[in-house]
Amino acid sequence: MGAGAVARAPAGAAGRRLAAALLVALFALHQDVWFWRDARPLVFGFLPVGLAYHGAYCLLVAALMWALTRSAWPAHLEHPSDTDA
Amino acid sequence: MIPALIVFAYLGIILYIGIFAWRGQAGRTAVEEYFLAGRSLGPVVFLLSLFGTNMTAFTILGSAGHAFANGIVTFALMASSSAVVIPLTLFFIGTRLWALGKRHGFITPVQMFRDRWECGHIGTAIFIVQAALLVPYIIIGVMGGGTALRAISGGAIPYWIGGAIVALVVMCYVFLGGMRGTAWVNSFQTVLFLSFGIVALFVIGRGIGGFPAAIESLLASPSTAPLLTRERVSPLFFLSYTFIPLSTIAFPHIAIFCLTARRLVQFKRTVVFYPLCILAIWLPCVFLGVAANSMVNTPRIAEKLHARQTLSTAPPSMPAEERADLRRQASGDDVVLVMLDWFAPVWLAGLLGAGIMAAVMASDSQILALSTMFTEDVFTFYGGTARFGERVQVQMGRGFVVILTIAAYLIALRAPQSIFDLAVQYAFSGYAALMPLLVAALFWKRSTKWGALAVAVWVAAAVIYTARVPGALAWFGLLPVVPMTLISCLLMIVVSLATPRPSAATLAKYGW
Repeated sequence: MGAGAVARAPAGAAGRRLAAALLVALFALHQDVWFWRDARPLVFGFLPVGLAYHGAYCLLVAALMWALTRSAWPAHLEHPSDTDA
Repeated sequence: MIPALIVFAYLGIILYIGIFAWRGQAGRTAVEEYFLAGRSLGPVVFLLSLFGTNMTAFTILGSAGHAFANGIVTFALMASSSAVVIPLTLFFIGTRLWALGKRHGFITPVQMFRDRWECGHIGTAIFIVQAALLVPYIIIGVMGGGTALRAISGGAIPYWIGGAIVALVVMCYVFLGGMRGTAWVNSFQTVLFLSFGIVALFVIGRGIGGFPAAIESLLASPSTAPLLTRERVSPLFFLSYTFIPLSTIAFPHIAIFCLTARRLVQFKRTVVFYPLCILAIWLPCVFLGVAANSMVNTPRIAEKLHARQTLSTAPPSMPAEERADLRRQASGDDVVLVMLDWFAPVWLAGLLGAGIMAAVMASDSQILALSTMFTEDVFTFYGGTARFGERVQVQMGRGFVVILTIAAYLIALRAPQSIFDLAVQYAFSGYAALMPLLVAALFWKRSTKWGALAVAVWVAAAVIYTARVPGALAWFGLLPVVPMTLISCLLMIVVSLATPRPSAATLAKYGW
């Protein structure tokens, strides 16, 4: 690998598996056929359950993205000289 | 007229931000400073500006309008799918683009493609496809500015003056401030329209006597109850919408923006907070759009509901013009403005109008991106910078901003908006289908320039075909974006495997 090369992720890292599992789980949770035809219950008395579910889904995504940045962050991409700016 | 004055004050502020950014550029390297803010944006500006760059007039006006007609499904189709796909693409692709840009000095994606696949003119072909898909976006931004200013001023400012004012303000701060000015303005705008959704929700909720009563009234009517479920769309159609946000990272203004971060760690906060920002702005807009259906006592909304009812029971023999006229009347793109007009005090309507203007004026990033692409991928690549120097390159970029804005304004005056509304929809599919270029360049060492050319040609052909033939590529009830993207992937794989790979030296440069 040349001096200017961008390093690739360490092979076989557990983070990769976690990332793949998260991807599949997140995708499956987005296709929520279980609330397809229901408006009730109304969450907080006015939010149809299908809308509240996807609102909560956004919160879940944020939490999982946080977990991903902790466990599978591609820190190898940053070269020490990149921090000089 | 008071709301219009508040909006003018807002336009003055963002113009000042652009000039302030221009003053801050002294002593910095010309090209990287103007086009990439010196690759030095901090975490807050990076997050807010990236989010703001991605939010357009559609986010506030269009999302409420879509929800008015289609119900709560709007949020799941467009918002929560973006909330997961966009942070993931930033995490996996944006970070790598940043690293390569930092290491090798790339300013545009095409520069990286040319280097990665050892090609010249194929890069130019990709540039042409990218630029052609971006132009409608810029025109629609100017149109949105004219329409919004006319609506906010109650018709006192005609469309052509409103469009000219918005185009002039955008042109000035992009011309002067470059990426730094654009990023600061976008950050300010993001704060403004994040506040907009929450304030609008509170004001309108109080005005209509509470949301529970409004939702119960919708549930009580067989014609409006389905708006609170997703029974009107098929799961397959719903699934295909998750392909649309793949376009985001392939948009040149987003890919170029990824290169502006000072440190890699800037992406961390962005990918975590991005879904929260989407939630904060889309949920109120979608909910208000749905709730507007309960406002039968508001004349302008009652007219829309009546037009929708007439349209749904219209005989097939109804003339096309009459049908189009009814569609225009039933369109809900202005429901949030109507609700604010009805319930908000004048001063608050003005502030919220400024929030709407902030979303409408998203064309700045696209104008700058196109200028960056032109100067880097064409002017510099074909020897312009080597011959005339960096200073001329930046002047060329500024000149391109002026020409592009004037051209967009003149087209916006003459062409009907519906054409560009459609063109933007095709652009989303086109960019989603271009996404395999980035994935292949960054993650598949066997990919080749011929595979990239096959993808670019396919995307151009598919966009033209779907635009000309209604219903084309909408196989099995899926959106055309699905076959377009899958065929792009297939072409990249098959053509790459059939053609020689890049040299070992190039592959080593990319870590293989």
